[in-house]
Amino acid sequence: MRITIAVMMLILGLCTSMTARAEPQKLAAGEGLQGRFEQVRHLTGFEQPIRSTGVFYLLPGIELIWQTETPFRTRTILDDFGVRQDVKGRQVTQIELSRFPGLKVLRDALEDSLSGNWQQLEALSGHKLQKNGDKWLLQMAPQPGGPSLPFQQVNFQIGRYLETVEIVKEGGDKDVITFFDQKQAPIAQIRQSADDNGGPAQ
Amino acid sequence: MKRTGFLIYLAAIICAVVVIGVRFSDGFPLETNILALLPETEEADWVQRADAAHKARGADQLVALVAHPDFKVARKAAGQLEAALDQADIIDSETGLSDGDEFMALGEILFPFRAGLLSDADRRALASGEGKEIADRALAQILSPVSIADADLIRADPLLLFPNFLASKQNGAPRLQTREGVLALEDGGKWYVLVNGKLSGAPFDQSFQARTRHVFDRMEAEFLAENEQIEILKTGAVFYGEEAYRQAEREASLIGGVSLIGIIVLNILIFRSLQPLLFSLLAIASGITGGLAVTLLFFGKLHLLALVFGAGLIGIAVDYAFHYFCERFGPGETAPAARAKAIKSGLTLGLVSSVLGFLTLSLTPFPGLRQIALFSASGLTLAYLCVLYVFPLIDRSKSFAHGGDALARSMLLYRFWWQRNFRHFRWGVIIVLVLVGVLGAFRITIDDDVRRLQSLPAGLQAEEQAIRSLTGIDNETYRFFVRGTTSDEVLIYEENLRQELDILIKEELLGGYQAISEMIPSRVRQRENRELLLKQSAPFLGEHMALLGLTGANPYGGYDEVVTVEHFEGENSQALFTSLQVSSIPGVIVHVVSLSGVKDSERLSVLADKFENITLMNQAEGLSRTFGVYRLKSLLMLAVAYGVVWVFLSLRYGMVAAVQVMIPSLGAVLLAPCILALFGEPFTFFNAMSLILVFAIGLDYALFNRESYGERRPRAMLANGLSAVSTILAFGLLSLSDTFAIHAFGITILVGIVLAYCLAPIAANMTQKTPDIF
Repeated sequence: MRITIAVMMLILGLCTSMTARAEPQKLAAGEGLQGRFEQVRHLTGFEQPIRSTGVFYLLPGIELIWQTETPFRTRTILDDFGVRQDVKGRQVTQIELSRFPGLKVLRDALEDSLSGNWQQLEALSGHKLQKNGDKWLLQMAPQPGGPSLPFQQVNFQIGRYLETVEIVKEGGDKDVITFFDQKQAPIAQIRQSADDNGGPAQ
Repeated sequence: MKRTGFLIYLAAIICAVVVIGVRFSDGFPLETNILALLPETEEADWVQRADAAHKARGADQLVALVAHPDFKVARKAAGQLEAALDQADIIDSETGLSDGDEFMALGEILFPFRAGLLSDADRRALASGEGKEIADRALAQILSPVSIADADLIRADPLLLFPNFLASKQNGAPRLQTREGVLALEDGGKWYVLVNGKLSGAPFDQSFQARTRHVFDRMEAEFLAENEQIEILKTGAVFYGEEAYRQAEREASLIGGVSLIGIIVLNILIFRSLQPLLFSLLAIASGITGGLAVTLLFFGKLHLLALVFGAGLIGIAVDYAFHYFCERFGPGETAPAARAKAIKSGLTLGLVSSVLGFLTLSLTPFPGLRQIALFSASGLTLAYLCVLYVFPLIDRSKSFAHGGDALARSMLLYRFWWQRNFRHFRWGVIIVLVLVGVLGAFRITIDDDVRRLQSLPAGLQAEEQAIRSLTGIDNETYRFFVRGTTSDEVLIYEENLRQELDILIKEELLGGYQAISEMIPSRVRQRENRELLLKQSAPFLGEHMALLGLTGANPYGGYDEVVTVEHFEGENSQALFTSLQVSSIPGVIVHVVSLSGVKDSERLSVLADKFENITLMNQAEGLSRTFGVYRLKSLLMLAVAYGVVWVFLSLRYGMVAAVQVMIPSLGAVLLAPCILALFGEPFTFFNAMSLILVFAIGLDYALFNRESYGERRPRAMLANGLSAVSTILAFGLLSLSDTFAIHAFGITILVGIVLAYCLAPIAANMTQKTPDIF
C-alpha cells in the first residue's frame, strides 16, 4: 500500500511538474498552423448568437486563410494588403488595411496569437501573459492616444496553442472564437492543405 | 512754354510721390501671382466665375508634412510647426475635422437615407436579379473574424449595403489616417504627420509670403538643431509666389544694377563728366516714379513683371538724356535751352511713337502686360518732360571740347548705308539679311505652352511631388464644371456624365473621378434605388434576416425621405462638398467633377460637347490655346500700330518717306524672329509682344536719324548708339532670366534693337532738312 501511494504521488508529482512546464507553443521559422474554429458572435438584442465553424490555415508572414464552412462556405484571406473575401469563388470584399489601421491591429493580433508570438503581443498590449491554472491569459485593450481600434478588449486564452479569443466590442457585442485540432506543419504543407480544401487564394 | 512744361513736370512728380506714398503706406503692393498675367478665359461667364472660385480655393491652402522615423518625434515637431504658424497668423487655427473624422461624420448624416444609397455595383446586381449575392456578401462580412459590423448596423442594414456604398466611394482617398489626434502615414520607415490649413492672408501678398517663409526657415533651423532627422515637406501657392518674388527681386537687382553700371561707364567714357550721369539718374528716377505712380493709381498694385520692366525702363529713359547731352558736342557754345530745342522734334516724335506702341500693348487683355505698357508709357512721358523742361533749368555746363573721335565713329554705320564706295558691301549685307530671314522663317516654331510661362523652382516642385505621392492626392489637371438651376438638376447631369466616365475608366483611359453625386445621388436616383431594393430583396431578405436571428419588419422600408446637398449646409458642411461645389447662387449651381489619371483628353472633350451644361476645364491646355490666340492678336495689333504710325508720320514726311522712316523698325521686327529661330528659340506670345517694343524703340532710332540733318547728324547718331548700348544692357540681360516670359522678351529685344540700330540710318533724309515741329 505504501508503495502504491508512493507511486501515485510520484505520478501525480510528475504530472503536476509537466503541467507547470507546459509553455505556449511558438511556431518555428518555416512552420505554419492549421486547425478548426468555432466562432460565436453575440450581437446585442439579437435572439441568438450567430455561430459559424470552419478551418483556418496560418502561413506566418504570408496570410491567414479563414474558411467558414457553416452556416455557409466563404473564404476570408487576411494578408499584409488587407482583407479579401470570396463567396463561391467570387471575390465580394476587398479592404485595404492601410485605410483601416484598427483592422490591421486585429489581424496582427490574430496572426501573432496563432503563431505563439506572445512576446510581440505582450509588447503591443503592455501586459504579460498570466498563468491561470493550466492555461495562460493575456488581455489587450486600445492604448490611450493610440489608433482607434474596433474593439474594447481582446482576451486570449492559451494552452499549448491559442485556444480562445474573446473580442469585446462597444455596445456589448462580443465574438468568441474557439480553436481546436491545431496541427503544426511546414508552410508548404499547410498551403497544400488550404489549396486542397478550397483552391488557391484568389 | 518752358515754364509751363516745368510746372507740369513738377505737378506730375508731386502727384506721383503722393500716390506712391499712399500706396506704400500698407507695404509694397507687389503682385507675384503669375496667373495675374493671364487673360480672362473666353468661356461663358458662369464658367469664368466658377473657375475663379475653384482656383482661389486651391490657392489659399498650405500643406506640409513633418517627417521622422519615430512617430512621436514627428508628431511633436508637427505640433510645434502648427503652433508657430498659428502664432504668426499664417493659418487659421481651426483646421476642421481630419479626413477620417469627416468621413465618419458624413456617414452619420447619410445613414438614415441608406435605402436610397446604393453603390453602383449593388445597384447593377439588384437590377440584374443577383441580389442574393449581396446577402451572401453581407453574411461573409458578418462572419469575418475581423468584422466591424455591429448589432445596430446589422439590425438597420442587414445586407450591409451602406458600408459598401461608403467603401466604394473611398477608393483613391488619401492614405493619411488619424493617429493620436493627427493625420499621419508611414512610408519607407518614416512617419509623416500632416500640418495643413487655410491661409489667413492672401497667398500672393508679399509681406504674408515673407512671414510664412520666415516661420518655415526658423522652424527648419530649430528642428535641425534639435534632431537633424526631422524633415519638412511643404507646398502651396504661397511658397511658389514667394519664390517668384525672390527671383524677380534678384533679377531686377541684377538687371537694374548692371544696367546702371553700364550707363555710368558709358557716361564717363563718352562725356568725361559726372554731370550727365547725375542728370540721367534724375531722368531715370522721374521715369520710374511716374511709371510706378500711374500703375499703382490704376491697378492698386504692381506686378512683378512690371517691376522687372521698370528696371529695363532705365535703358529707354536714359536715351532722352543721351540726346540732350550729345548736343553739347556741337560746335561753339550752345545754351541749354537751345540743346533742348534741337532735340525736341525727335524726342517728341520718338515719345509719341513709343507711347503708341505701348498703348497697343495695353490693348491686350493680359493685366500684367497692361501694367507694363502703362508703366512704360507714363514713365517715358515723365522722363521726356524732365529732359526737355528740367535739364535746361539746372544745366550750367558748357559745350564739350572733346568727342570728335566718338562722333566720327558714330557715323560709320551712316556712311555704310549712304556712301557709294560701300555699295557692294551694302548689297552683300542686304542679301545676307534676306537669306537669313528666309531661312529663319522656315525654321520658326510656334510654342504656346503656358507651362513655359514660368520655370517653377525645382526644389518646391520636388517637395510638392513628394507630398502628392505620399498622401495619394492626385494632381488634378482636368475637371468638368456641371451647371444647373438647382442642385438636384446638377446631380442628374453629373449622374449622366458619370455613366460615360465609368466607360472611360473601364477602357483604362481615365483613372478616376470625384463628384458630389457619388455621395448624394439625385432625388430620382435615390427613389429608384429604394424601389429597386425593396422589390428585388423581397425574395431573400426574410431568409437572410432569419439566418442572422433578426425578426421584424423590412428595415429598408417605411420612409420616403431623400438626402440632398442642403443637408450638408451650415454646421454639417463637409470639405468634400465645399471643394466640389463652386457656385451655390440660387439659379446658378455649379459642381466640379474632378478627374485623375487622364490618358485621353480628346474623349473628355467629346463628352463635354455631348452635354450642354458641362464644360471641360484644363488650365494648361485652355490657357495655351488662349496664348496662341493672343499671339496672333498681338501680331495683328503690331500691324495696326504700324498703320497708325504710318498715318502719323505721313502727316510730317509724306506717305513714301514715312515708309522709309519705318523700314529700320519694320526690318528689325521681321528679321528678329527669323534670326532667333535659327538659334532654336521658339516663337511665343511673349516674343510677339516684345516685337511691339522693338517697333517702338526702333522707330525712335529712325526718327532721330530723320530729324537730324547736316552737322547735327553725328550727334544724333552718337546718341542713338549710346541708347542702343544702354537698351541692350537693360533688355539684353533679361534674356538671362529664368522666367521664360522675361527671357523671351529679353532675347527678342536684344536681337531686335541691334537690327533696328544698324538699319536706322536708312531712315535719314539726304536731300533736305525737315522743318522743326515746334
